Parts: sequence; structure tokens; C-alpha cells
Amino acid sequence: MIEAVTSENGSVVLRQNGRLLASAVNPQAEAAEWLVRRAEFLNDVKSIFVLGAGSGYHVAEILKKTNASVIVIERSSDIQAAVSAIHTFDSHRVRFECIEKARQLRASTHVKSAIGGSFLVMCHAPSCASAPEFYRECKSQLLGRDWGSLNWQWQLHGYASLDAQPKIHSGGDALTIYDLEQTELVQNSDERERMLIKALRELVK
Amino acid sequence: MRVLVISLLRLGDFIQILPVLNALKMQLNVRELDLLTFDPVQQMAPMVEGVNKWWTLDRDNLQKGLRHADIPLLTSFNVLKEKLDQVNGRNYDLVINLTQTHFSGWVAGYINSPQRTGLVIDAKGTALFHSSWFQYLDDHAIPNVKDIFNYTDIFFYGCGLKGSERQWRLKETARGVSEIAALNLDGSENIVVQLFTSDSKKTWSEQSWLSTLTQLQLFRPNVRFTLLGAPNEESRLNSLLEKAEARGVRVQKAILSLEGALSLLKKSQLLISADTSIKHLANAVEIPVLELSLGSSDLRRTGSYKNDSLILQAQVACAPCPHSSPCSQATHLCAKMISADVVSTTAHHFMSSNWLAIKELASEYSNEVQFFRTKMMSTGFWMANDVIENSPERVVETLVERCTWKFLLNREHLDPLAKFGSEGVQLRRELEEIFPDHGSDVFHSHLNFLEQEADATNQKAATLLTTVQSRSPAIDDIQEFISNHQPASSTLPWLERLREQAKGGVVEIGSLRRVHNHLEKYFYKSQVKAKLIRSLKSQLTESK
Repeated sequence: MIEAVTSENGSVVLRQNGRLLASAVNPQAEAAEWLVRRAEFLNDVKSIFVLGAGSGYHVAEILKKTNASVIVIERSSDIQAAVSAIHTFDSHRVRFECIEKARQLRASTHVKSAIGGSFLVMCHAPSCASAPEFYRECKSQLLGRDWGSLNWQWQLHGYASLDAQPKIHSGGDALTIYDLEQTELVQNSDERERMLIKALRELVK
Repeated sequence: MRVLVISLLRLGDFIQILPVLNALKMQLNVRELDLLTFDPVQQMAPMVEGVNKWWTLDRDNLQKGLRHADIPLLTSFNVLKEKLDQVNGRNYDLVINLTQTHFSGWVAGYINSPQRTGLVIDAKGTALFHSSWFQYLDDHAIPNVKDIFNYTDIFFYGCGLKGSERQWRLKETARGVSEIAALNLDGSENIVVQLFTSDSKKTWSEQSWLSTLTQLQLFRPNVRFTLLGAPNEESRLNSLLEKAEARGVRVQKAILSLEGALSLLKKSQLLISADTSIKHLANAVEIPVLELSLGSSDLRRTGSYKNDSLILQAQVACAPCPHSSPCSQATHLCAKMISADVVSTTAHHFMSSNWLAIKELASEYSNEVQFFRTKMMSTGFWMANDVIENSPERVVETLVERCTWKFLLNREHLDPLAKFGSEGVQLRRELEEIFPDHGSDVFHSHLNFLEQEADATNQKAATLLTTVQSRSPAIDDIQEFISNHQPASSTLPWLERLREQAKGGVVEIGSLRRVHNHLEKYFYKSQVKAKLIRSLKSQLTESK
């Protein structure tokens, strides 16, 4: 059940099945603090994926602090509708992807377009706690730190597919630049992109 | 012409290339000069004139993107690609990489341009230097090479620039002036002290600084010290400030931006610093510099680039140590060998321009510390000379070697009207200035020896070249020859490859060419050296 409640500073916040989706004291301040802890690349990426619409204050904060487009991944269409009732987001910058299964991300034109450029992934913890498995899978698809999702993302850039499997990855752990560097593309091709992978590899030597 | 200069290292490394940027505009037909640096370097922007566009990369973020599993694996890649694609949109006529690192080499390779200078790594992974000077830098990369030009000179000549003038032009800003307005700089003796460096191996101890300030104030009762630091160094600086004040030292702190630091240096009478970006900043103003060369600081490559700076370096075998490795000693030996007594007394005499007293001091402490006086030579390069150098042979050898490299790397020897005579005149003048009391005879006998050595090298190189040209290289002899002349040469691994190939009966033309080029370099170098020696000898004879 989704309810709208008024926080101490007069802002409307949502409560889902008894769990608040934003601060009941000052949701704007909470959102600002949330974003400060995620400062890396904030002004460098073209898109930001937000996992969970929450009460929308964190999305508003992103819009205020960056020029990036925001794609909000949300499982509940009711939440999406409730957030839209609280905030009037610029439709050119914010898009909601309301999906039930993580693999549906791969079918979304907007998701694919965003992944073709630079992007970040940010989790809204109260939302993710409401459907942990779903959001974990979405995150995994977007982080590209397993071989399947990395290959999918790589091809969305218009590049040839990577090797069938990583050469040095031991399984379990997240993939790193070392795995990417060991691919045929980087080792044995004349593709210009390999130069960037090689350059980045130098930064973590 | 639209030019992009890449400088992807630290702040100090960027400041070292300022004369190159200034000369590029004046000597080449550069209409627009753009820069590509890491983010922190852009704080120099208000002081650097003549830059059209300043591109930056955020190294910290790129590294975090690669290390943090919560950031998409491709984010660093995408961000770097998008930025460099924007850079590519400027369609540069010339890309100059003034950073000899793999990272910058790959980045330079990614940027399109019909003309390039400096290290570029192409899509096949081949490193190209585009100038003998950058190849020289690569060949002399190891810390303990016998001699090497200062980086500023290498980059200057590497860009095809000419002349002995180096302009360290920086603009003082209103912000800088306002930052120092609150400081007390009215006295006639303001000494700026840069306490901290970016590397603990290069940093002198708090106790040493405290003792130095206390003693120096006794020598110079009117002195006032300004402890300079960046905002992130304030708490460390406060600790020393309190202790100094408790000892009655007239001291103030200055937490300043680089713009403020430049204004402060302009108003002060001496800078005492280890190897820091502030030391390089001081090249743009008239302040004398007393440099403490500690840890991995290699004074030959990065020493205070101005006339009459004084550099102190401990007499320890491990100095300078490799940049990235920890101190190999049980204690920070190179820092401990330079005592507060030496620094305070030296600073006192240095402020009085009493070079005679400095020489006496250098003799007294010669077992612990070496004193170097810097000089921009009329022969077109910077040098740091031991103030108590008593071996004319060593000096003449170093000078001839440097001039030989300069001639060779600038390809001046290929000019039918190569100015060996003028170079001889300059060399003679430099020697007379360094050793005013020595007659020319002492140089003559050593020059005769060097000439014979150069001729022998030339003959040996010619013989070995013949074996390579006939595709039956005398590998053992070549190896001995190269090891003698350049022990860390990158040609040696190629020689091993050639040896393996020879066993199989087929030698690759690429390996042969590499070895051939190396021998040819020494063939020409010995020729140039012999000509320079003969020119110098003739000048010395005429001046008798």
C-alpha cells in the first residue's frame, strides 16, 4: 500500500507498506547528503540510472546538481505515479522505466541508448530494500561487471563482441579493467578503442 | 597552426614546461595553443597566458571508476573516450606530448593529428618518439644515469625550439595579490619556507626545520619567515608554527592558492624548499632559491631552473632513489645528512651573496653534503655545478658530452655550416668562468685524451656497423660496445633477439635495423665529439 505523508518540513513523502521512502524530517536535505556521497563522475557522465523512484527527491537533487539525463528504474507503477504527482520533472531529462524483470532492461530503447554513452548507476536504498532481488539484478545488468552484461554493453557501443569468456577472471568477483585488457580485442587488434583500454590500464598499475 | 600540448603528470612537471609553451608561440607559427592536463594543473590557468583551450582529465575519478565495483566497468572508458573525442573535434595540426608516460603515450595516440612530437603509442602498440630528444629521454630514464639534461631543456629542444633563452612567464593575478594583503611582508628580509612536499621521501623533518629557523634568526636578526602551505596542509603547518613561535621565531603562516604563492614569492627575498611545485613557480620571479634535494628528487632533471640557485644534496650512495619505491635505508639518511646547521648557515651566506663563504662551508661539510650552484649556460642548457668542484677534467668532460648530445640530437652536425667554431668559443668561456684561476694547459691534456677516446669509439662503431650491414653482426662485440656506452640501453634486448635469430640462421631486418641505428648514433656522436674537442682546443690555444 502506498501512502503520501507530510514530512516535518512540509514536503510530501511516500510510505510503501509501512516503510518510508524518504526522510520524514527533511527529504531534500537527505537527498543532498545522499548525492554528496556519490560525487564521482557526476559532472562527466551523460546519463544516470537511478534504481528506485523513492519519493523522487533524490532524482530532483540529481537534476539540480548535474546536466545528465536520468533514467529511473522502478518496479511499481503506483510508486511512479505517486512520484509524478509530487514532482514535475523535465520530461527531456527524466525517464521512468517501469519493468517487472531485470532482463527487460535489455529491450528498452532508452536504456540501450544511455548505455552507448557514459553513465552511472545509483541505488536508492529504501526502494532497493523493497525488492532486493529485482534491484540487484538490474544493478548487475547495468554495472557490466559480469561477462554477459559487459559483452552486451560493449556491443551497444557498436564494437565487435568480446571473447566468449574472460581469460583471467576467477569467477565470483566483479570483472575489472584487467579482464578487459586481456580480451582479443585489446591484445591483438588495431581497434582504436584498445588504446583507451591500454591507457586506463596504466592508471591502475 | 592549431597545437595541442599534452602534460599529464603533476603540477611541478607542468610548470617545468612553461618556457616551452612560451617559445612555441614565439618560434613556431602557432595560432592557437591548447593544453590537455590533469584537473589539478588547471589551477595554473589564471597565470598562464596565451592558452586558447584547456582540456582536463580527472585522473582520480578515472582510477576510482576502475577500482570501485559499484561504478560501471565501462564508465571510465566512456568518460575518457567522450572527452578525447571532443578533443579530436578540434582537428589539431600538431600534437606535442610533453609527458613520457605510457598513459600519455596511448592518449596521444588516440588523438588525431597529421603531425606529432613526443611519445605516441599507436594502435599496434608501437612507441614512437618523433624526436631524438624524446628517444634520449627514454634511453636515460633510469635514476642513476651518469648525466642527463634538465627536463625543461629536453622538452624545449624536443619541440624543435632554438636558443638559450627560457622564458618563465607567469601573470600575477588580483586574487594572488589580495591573498597576501594580510601578510606582514614589510621587512627587508622575508624568507618563504615551503615545508611540505607531495612525497615523504622528499620532505625534511619538522625538527630540522625548527632548528634551521631558530638558528637563521640568530644570524639575521631582521628576518621574518613565512611558512607556505596549501589549504590541505594547514593543520600540519599549524603544529610547526606553534612550536616556532614558542621558540621566539618571527614566523607567520600563509595558506595560499598558487596565485597567492606567486605573489608571495614576488615580494620575498629567499625561498627555501625541497623539490616542490613552488620551487618551479619561483622560476617565474626573481627570488633566489635554496633547494634541499632529498629522496627521489633528481636535481639534474628537475633542479631549480634559474641562475645562481643553490641546491644541497646529501652525500649518500642511494640518492636520488627511484621515485615509486620506499626508502631503502633504516632511517631517512639523505634528510638526516643535511643538518639544520648547514642549511641555516648556507641560507645566511646565500642571502648575502657570499659565495666565498659558501665554498668554505661546502668544503667543511663535503663528507655530508654536496653544494650545487645552478647556471644557465651560454651553450644553451642548464647545469648544476658543484661549488667546490676541483676537477677541471670532470667539468670539461661533462660540458663536451652535453654539447655533443645537443649537437647530435638537434641534428646540427648535419648542417654543412655547423657551428662547431661558435660552440668552441662558448665552451671556452664557460670553462674560464668556472675555473678562472686555471690555465688552459690543464684542459688541453685531458682534451687530447678525450679526442683519442672519441676517435677510437668512432673507429670501433664503424667496424661494428660493417658487420651489421653485411648481415653477420658481431653480437658479442656489439654487446660489449653498447654496454660500455649505455648500460641501460633499450637496444640490448634487441641484441639478444638477434642472437637467437642468428642461431636459427635467419636474422630479422627489424632487429638489424635497431642495432644498426644504435651503432650509427654512436658513430656520429663520436665524430661530433671529436670535432667539438678540436674546436675547443683551438679556442684555448688562441686565448693563450
